Formats: sequence, structure tokens, C-alpha cells
Amino acid sequence: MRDTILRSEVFFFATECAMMSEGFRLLLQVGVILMISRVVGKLFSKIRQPQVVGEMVGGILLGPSLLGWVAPRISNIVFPASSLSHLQALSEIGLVLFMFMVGLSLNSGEVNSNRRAAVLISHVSMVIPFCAGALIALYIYPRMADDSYSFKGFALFMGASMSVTAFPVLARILTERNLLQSKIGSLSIACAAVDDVTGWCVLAYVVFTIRASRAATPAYLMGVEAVAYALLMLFVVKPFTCYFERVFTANKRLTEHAFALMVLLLLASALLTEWLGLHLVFGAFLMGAIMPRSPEFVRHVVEKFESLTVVVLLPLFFGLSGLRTAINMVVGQGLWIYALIIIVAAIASKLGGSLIAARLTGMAWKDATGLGVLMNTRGLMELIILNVGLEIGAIPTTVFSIMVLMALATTFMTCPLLDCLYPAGVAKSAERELQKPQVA
Amino acid sequence: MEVKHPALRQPSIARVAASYLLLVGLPLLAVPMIFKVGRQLSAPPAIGGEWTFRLGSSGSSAGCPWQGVKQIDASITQAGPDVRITFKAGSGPVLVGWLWGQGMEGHRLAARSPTVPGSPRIERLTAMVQARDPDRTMEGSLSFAADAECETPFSAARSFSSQQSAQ
Repeated sequence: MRDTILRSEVFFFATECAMMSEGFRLLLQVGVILMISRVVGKLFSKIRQPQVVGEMVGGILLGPSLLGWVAPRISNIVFPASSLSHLQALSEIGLVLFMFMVGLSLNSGEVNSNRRAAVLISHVSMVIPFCAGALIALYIYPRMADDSYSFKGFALFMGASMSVTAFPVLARILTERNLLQSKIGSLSIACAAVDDVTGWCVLAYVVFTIRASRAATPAYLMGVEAVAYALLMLFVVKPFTCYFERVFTANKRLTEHAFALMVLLLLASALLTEWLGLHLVFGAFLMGAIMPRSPEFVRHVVEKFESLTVVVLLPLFFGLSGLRTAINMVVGQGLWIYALIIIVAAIASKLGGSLIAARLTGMAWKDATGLGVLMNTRGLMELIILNVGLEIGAIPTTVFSIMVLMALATTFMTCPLLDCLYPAGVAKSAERELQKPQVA
Repeated sequence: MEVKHPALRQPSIARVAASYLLLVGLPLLAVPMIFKVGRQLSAPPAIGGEWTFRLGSSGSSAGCPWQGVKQIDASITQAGPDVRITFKAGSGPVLVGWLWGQGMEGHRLAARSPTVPGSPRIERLTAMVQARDPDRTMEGSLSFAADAECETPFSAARSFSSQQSAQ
């Protein structure tokens, strides 16, 4: 009797949902994703993990890894495959806005004071994991890919995704633990900033290489177009962006007209890089990077975008990534051993590479280890790169799922390890010590 | 008197240059070699996606399962050489298999075998994959339980690849 009632309720719900308009279903999807990501994010913040880690996990729980496995009918009703294109469109808007904010927040001043050490540590922390990723690709390509994926694209993407550091998550972790003004904090921020710029250049090259090999347009022509775009942005658009700062200075805020123009330029830049065969994230990032740098202006623009992007749109991106992640497929097909190899190699190459480079610059073991732990944080940037890789057909879904696990594992371990190295009390006293002027 | 901030002490240029050559330059030299080795590798044919199986006449026994059935749809998921074939007929027999070269062999996944009476128990599938880009086709045979005479030939064509659905 109970089963009959339950089945009829599910049937009724299914019938009602089948009659949903696309707009209704999209709103339902957005509501479900926001609710789950907030709840799980809050739970993770209780165990001293950044909210973004919880949001990433929340997205995975909504996908085939949990909801699709435990309640496939409900998953099919709320997130049918045919409706995901609308969700993808919304999440890409969020991604564009977020990457604009990342570009905008780049501060070369953070690098200047630690230039030599930052460049060395940053580049070592990218090259060694990149080589590790390419080496692992030799092993897993015949075991996990098929002939629709070229080895070159596969290995390039494995390398690129192993080498990334999540600058925004790292900054958030340092702020929460009161380490931002410490020696390790300032150096890791500088290294991550260099990582960001280098990493996006490397990723742009990787995407360009993969797409050029499949495009009808000759690669050299695509290269010329990409260079022309970069020159246009640097010599035409960048001088124009001073207009926004003038408006801000005159009115103490950005007018609606100026704000609309800024968004239009941002969208145009993203569309242009997508059209050129790169990905729209690069256009958004570069647009942010060429904006004026005065702190008040940057803060004002970031505040305008932040709430909508971080609270509403970015969780949709996590949700969509989660809907693409099938951990049950990894476990069910015995691929967990490959997952373990990738996770161990990712940690060893990134943490170890950063540690060795930091020691060579004269850092103490504890600080070098702490820097390695921080640089090992891959988080959101890893998810962005993996989604780009999946969309352009560089990596298969199983590899995508494993790399998402790797991103989660490396980000999750950051806070507990940092807490072991820098218990809150020690960080505060070290900070007070650093703030005392030391006379030569 | 000069005020120094100990947090910002910079390593010497010579030390940085030597470290850079060792830890960045040398690994970068290895990257082209990795790609050169990788060019020799081959991956299994891509067969993931939605397939349509067209069945031939099955064996000499009148009681062969799917007698009279002309066409069945199936979904194939793939991770490298490992494949999982789910037939969309009855309670969906599931086979797990593997690819070697252009050949494929699959056998019944015991845990997911249908126990509904009358539902066909596919024991084994053997096939050869024809990799004509972008279309993929297969030809082979299905063997059913309980009757060794019921070997049903089939030809299959892929209607939708899993890469298309991921993108």
C-alpha cells in the first residue's frame, strides 16, 4: 500500500514536471543548486574549509555521483540532459564575470616586492607538475582515452590542469587564517599571481593548439588573428578604459551608462576570443587585466559584480561541473587506482616542486612546506580548466571526473595542513613580530 | 639607520638563475621527448554513445530469444578499453567487455542480469569495430544462455557519440 502511494506520488510529480515549461524548469534547477551549494558550503565552513569547497562538493552531489545514482528518476526530472544547455549558458555568464574579476584583481605590486623568489617558485611549481601530468598521460592515455582524443591534446591538458593554482581560494584561505600579511602569505600571493598570468597564457596556447589542429582555418592564420586581438586590447581598448576611471572619479561611483558600457566591452572581448578559437574565459580575463588599477576603482567594480557572480552564478558553474562528474563511473569501473596515481602525482609535483624552489631561495623548511601546501590548492581554477578541456574534447568524461576528485582533494587538504603548520596563535604572534621594524 | 623587513629578503640573482636552469629549464627539455614517445601510443577505438543493433535471423532453434526482433537500441559507455553495454530492451541486459585492437568481447554482468522470466539472458557478445570517421559500425554475434544454437548475428551503427553529449 505504501509503495503504491509512493509510486503514484512520484508518477504525479513526474507528470507535473513533464508539463513544465523550460523557464520553470530552469528556475527550479537554479533554486535547487543554490540551496544545496549554500547548505553544503555552510557545513564545510563549520570544519574550517572555504565555502567554495563545499559548493564544489554540493555540485557533485547533484550529479550522477549521488542524486543520479540514488534517485535517477528525480535527477532526470530536475536535470534532464535536454535542459542542461540553458543552465550551461547561465553558468558561462557567471564564468565570464568571475574571470573578469580575477583579471581585475591582479596586482603587479604584490609581485614587485618578491619578484625574484616569486617568479622562480611560481614557474617551478608550474613546470614540474606540467611534466608530471604529461608523463602520467603516457600511462593513462591508452588505458582511459580512445582514438577520438589526440595524445598531444590529452597530455597538454593533463599537464595544464596539474600545474594550476587557485588564486582566489588561496587568497580567501590566507585572509581567514590571518596569514595574508605574513612572509609566507605575501610570497604565496605573489607566486599565485605569477602562476595565474603564466597559467592562462599556457592554457590559451594549449586550447589554441588543440582547436587549430581541428579547424578549417590554417593554424598560422589563427595565430595572426589571436595576436591582432591582443594588440587591439592592449593599444586600443586599454587606453579607452581610462574613461571608466574618469567617470568613477568625477561621480564617486560608476554611472549606469558607464557600467553598461563596461559589461558590453567585457562580453565583446569574451565573444571575440571564443570566435577566434580560444575560449571565452580568456577574453574575460584579459578585459579585467587591462582595466585601470587604482584600488578604489577596482574595489568599486568588484563590489558591483561580486554578489551576483559569487552567490548566484558561480554555484551554477559548480552545479554544472557536478552534473558532468561521475564518480560512480570511476569506482564502478575500477579506475580508482588511476585516480590515486593522479592525486599522488599532483600533490607530490606541486607541493614538492614549490617546496624545493622555496628552499633554494633561502626559506626555512616550515615556511617552504607551508608555501608548497598553499600552491597545491587547485580549487575553482582547476574546475574552469577541466570544463574547458571537456568542452573542446581534449579529455574524456572519466578523466574529467578523476581530475575533479584531484581538485577537491588538493583543495581540501590545504586548511588542515596549514592549521598544523600555523596554528592560529602562532600566526598572530609571528605577525606582530614581523610588524616590528628591524634595524640593520 | 636602515629599517629592514625580514620577510622581503631576496635571493641572489646567480642563485635564482642556477635554480631556474635546473628546475625549469631541464624539465622543459623533457617535454618534447614525452610528446615524441606519446606519438607512438594508440588508444582504443571510440565506441561510446547510443547504438542501434540490427539483428539477423537467430540460429536454428525456434525458441531463440528475440526471435523476430529486428532492431534494438543500446547505450555504450567506455573508459579506454573497458566498455559497458546496456541494451534498452526488456529489463536492459548489461554486458561488460573490453576492446583489443578493433575487436570487442563482452560478457554478462551477473549482478545486473535480468531475472524476469522470458527476458533474454545475453551471455556473450563478440564484434569487430569498423572505424570509419565520423561513423562507427560494428558487426558480430550475440550468444544467449540456455541454448547454444541461438547465436544471433548483428550489425550495429552509432547514432550519437558520448563525446557529442559531453560537449
